[in-house]
Amino acid sequence: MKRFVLEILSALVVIVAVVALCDHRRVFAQEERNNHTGKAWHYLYKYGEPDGGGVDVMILGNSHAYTGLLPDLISQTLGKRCFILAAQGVHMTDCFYMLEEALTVVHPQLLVIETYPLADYKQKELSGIDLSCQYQSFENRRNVWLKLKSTPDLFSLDNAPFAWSRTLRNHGYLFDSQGLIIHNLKNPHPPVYEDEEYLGRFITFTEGLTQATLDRYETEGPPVDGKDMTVGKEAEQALARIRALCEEKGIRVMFLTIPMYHLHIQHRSELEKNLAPYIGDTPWLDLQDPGYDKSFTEDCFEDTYNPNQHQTVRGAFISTAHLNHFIQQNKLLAD
Amino acid sequence: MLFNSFTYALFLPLVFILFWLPVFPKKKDVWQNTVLLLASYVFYASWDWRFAFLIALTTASSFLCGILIEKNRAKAGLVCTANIILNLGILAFFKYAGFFVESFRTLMSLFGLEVGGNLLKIILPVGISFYTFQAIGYTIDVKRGVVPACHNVLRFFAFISFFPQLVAGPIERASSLLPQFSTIRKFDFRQASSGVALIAWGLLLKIVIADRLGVYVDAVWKHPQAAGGLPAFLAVIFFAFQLYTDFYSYSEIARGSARLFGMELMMNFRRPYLSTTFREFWKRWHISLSSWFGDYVYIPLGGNRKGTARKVFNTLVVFLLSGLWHGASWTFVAWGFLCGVFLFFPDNLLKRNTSLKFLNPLVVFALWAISLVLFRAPTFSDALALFGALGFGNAANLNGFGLNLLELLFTVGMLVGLCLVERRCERKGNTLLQRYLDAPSAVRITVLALLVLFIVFMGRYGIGSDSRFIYFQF
Repeated sequence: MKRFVLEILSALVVIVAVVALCDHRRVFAQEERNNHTGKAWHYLYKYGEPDGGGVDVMILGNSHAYTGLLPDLISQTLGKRCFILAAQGVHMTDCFYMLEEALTVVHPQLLVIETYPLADYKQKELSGIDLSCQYQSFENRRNVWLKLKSTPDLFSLDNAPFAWSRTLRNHGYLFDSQGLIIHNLKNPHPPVYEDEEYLGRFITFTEGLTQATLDRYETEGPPVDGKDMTVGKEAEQALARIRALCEEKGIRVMFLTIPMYHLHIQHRSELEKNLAPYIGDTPWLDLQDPGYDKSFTEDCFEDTYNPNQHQTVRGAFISTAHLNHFIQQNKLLAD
Repeated sequence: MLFNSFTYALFLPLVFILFWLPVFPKKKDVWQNTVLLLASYVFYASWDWRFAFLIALTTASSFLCGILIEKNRAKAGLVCTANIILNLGILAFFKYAGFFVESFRTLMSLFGLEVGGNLLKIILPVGISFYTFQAIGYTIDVKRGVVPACHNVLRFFAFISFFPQLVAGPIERASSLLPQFSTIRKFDFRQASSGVALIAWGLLLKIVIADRLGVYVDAVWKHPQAAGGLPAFLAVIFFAFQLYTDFYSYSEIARGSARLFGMELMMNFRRPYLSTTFREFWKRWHISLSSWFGDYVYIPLGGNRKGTARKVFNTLVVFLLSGLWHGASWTFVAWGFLCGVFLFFPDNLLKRNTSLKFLNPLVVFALWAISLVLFRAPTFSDALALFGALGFGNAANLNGFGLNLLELLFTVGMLVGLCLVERRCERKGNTLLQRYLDAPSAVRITVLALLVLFIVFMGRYGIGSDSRFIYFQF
C-alpha cells in the first residue's frame, strides 16, 4: 500500500509541478490588451501604497459601471479620487469579494454600488461567457488568502481548478493560438503598466444608436423587460455582506442605476419596484427613471439591440454629471 | 458526478482511503461493504437524491424475491415474474411512458382519432436501465439455481449499487460480482496500479478523443446541409469512433476504479472494430449487455434450437429490444432492427469470404457506422437529412465544424494511433498493461505522469465542452 501511495503521489507531484510551472511562466495567459481588470487591480494596489494617495469614492459593479462613468471627472469635480472597481459580467457575490480585497488596501469614504450586478443568478451554476468573466475577475485578484476563502462561494468544485490555473483553462491555445503561446514563452513576466493615473474606466463606445436600431425598437419592441430584472437570493445575501462590511469599516453607501435607452427597456417601473426593497432608504440615484429620459438622448447609448446595452462617452459624461450633483446635494462626502 | 470531473477525482481517493482504513479487523468485510454502499449512494444521489429511493426499491424487491424464490421453489416462477414485472414497470414508467403515450397518439391520429391530455414530464433516472437489468439478472439466476439467494442485505445493496458500474455498466452477473462482496478484500499492489492505469487510459480516450470527436459530430448534426459532402461523411465515421471511445472509456474507468477496491469487473469491449463478422462484433461490443440479452431473452425464446425461421425471429426480437433499451424512440428501434438484420446479411457473405478476409472489418465498420446515423438521429427526418448530406465534395469545409485543421489532423492521428494499438493488442495480446506493471517504479511514475499531462494539455475540456458520457442517457 505504501509503495502504491508513494507512486501515485510522486506522479501527482510531477503533474502539479508542470502545470504550476506553466501557470507561473504565464504560458497560457490570455491577451493582456483586453485585461482591464488586471490593470484596475494594479493601480488600486498602487493607490493603496503609503504614498499612493488612496481612494475616496469607490464605484463597484460590472461593465455597466466601467463604461458608464468618467471617474477622472468625478475626481476633478469633487476633489476626491474616484476609482471604478468593476469586472466584466460579474454578479454581486463577486462584487463582495472584490470589495473585501480592495478594502485591505484602500479605505474609501463612499461606496457607490451600481445596481446591474443585482440580478437573479446562481453563482455556482454559471456557464459559458458568464463563467469566463468570473474566472477573469478571480484571476486578477491578488490576495491569495482571500481568493482561497472566496473559492467555495464563487465556483463549483468542478470549476474551482480552472479558476486557479490558466493552464487548465486555456490549454486549448495549443490548437488555436500558438502565436500567443510563443509570445508568452518569450515574455514570461506580467505586463508592465505605465505610470499614469488610471481610475478603472474601460472601453469607449463613441457611436450612439443608429436609425436601424431605433427602427427595431419600433418594429420589435424593447429587448429588455423590467419585470424580468429581479433580484435573487444570492444577490441579496451578497448585498447584505457588502453593507455589513461597509458598516464595519465606516464607509457610506449609495446606489446608482446607470440607464439603458428608454425604448430599450419596457416596464421600467417594475425594475424600480424590484430593486427598491433591497435598497431601502439608502441614497439611490436611479438614472433609469423616466425623469432623466431627456438627458439621455440616442447618442448616449451603445448601438446594440442586445439586452446588455452600455453607454457611450457622451452617456457616461451625463451620468457622471448627475452622480456628482447627487453626491454633492446629499452631502455624501465629508469635506 | 462524472468520472471525468474534479469531483470524482476527489471522491475516489476519499473512498479509497476509507475503504482501506485499518479498522474493525474482525468485521473487515462489513466495513468495506458499508463504505462502498454509502459511497455508491452518495455517488448516485449526486445526480438527484430522489433517484436513490428508486434504486433502493429495485434492490429491496430483488433481495426479497431472491430469498422467497429459494424458500419456496414451487412458486419460484411466480415470484421471479412478479419481480421482473415490478422492475420493468418502473423502467417503463420512467423511461418509456412518454414514448408509449406519444406512439399511441400517433397511431390513433392515423385513424383520425384525437387523443388529448398532457404528457407527464418524467425525469429519466440516470443508469436505470443498467441497474434494473442487473437486478433482474440476479432474480433469474436465483430461480435457475445459478447462484444462491443472497441473505446479507448490506452485501446485496452494495452489489446492485456498486458505484463504478452503477450508471453505465458493465451489467454484472451476480455469479461474478456478488461473491466478491463476501470476501475480505486485501490490497494488491499490481491490481491497484493496473486500476490507476486503466483510469488514466479511460480518461485519455474520453477527454482527448471522444469529446473532441463529439465537437465535430455535434456541429455537423446541427447543420447537416452546410456539412454536405465530406464533412458529413467524416462525421459518420467520427461518431462511430466517438461512441466507441466514449463508452469504452467509461468501462475502463469503471474497471480501474473497481480494482482500487480489490474488485474485478468484466471487460465490456474487446476491440470490436477488428471484428470480421457482425456475430463476432456483438461478442466484442458492449459484451455485458449482449450476453445479458443472450442469456435472459434469446435462449429462453429458443435461441437457434428451433429452426431457421425461429432463429431469425428470436434474433430480431432481441435486437429490437436492444434498440428500445438504448432509448425510447423509434429511431433506436429501427437501429436495433438493422443490427439484427446485419447478423444474417451481410454476415453470411462475410463468413464465406476467405480470400479477402482482411477487408471484412472494413465492411463491418462501414455498415455499423451507417446504422449509427439512426442511433444518433433524434428523428427519422434528421437521419434522412444526414444521409442526404453524405458525399465526397465540400472538402474545403472539412475544418469548418468546431475543429480547426490542426485539431482535425490531431484527431485523425489519435484515431490512427488507437487503431494501431488495438491491432497490436489483437495480434500479441494486451501486453502493454503487463509491461507497465513489470516496469521499475520510476518508469511507472513517469508513464503515468506523462499520460495525465497529455490529457491536461491535449484534452478537450473546460468552458463550453460537453463532457457527459453518451451512455448515461440510457
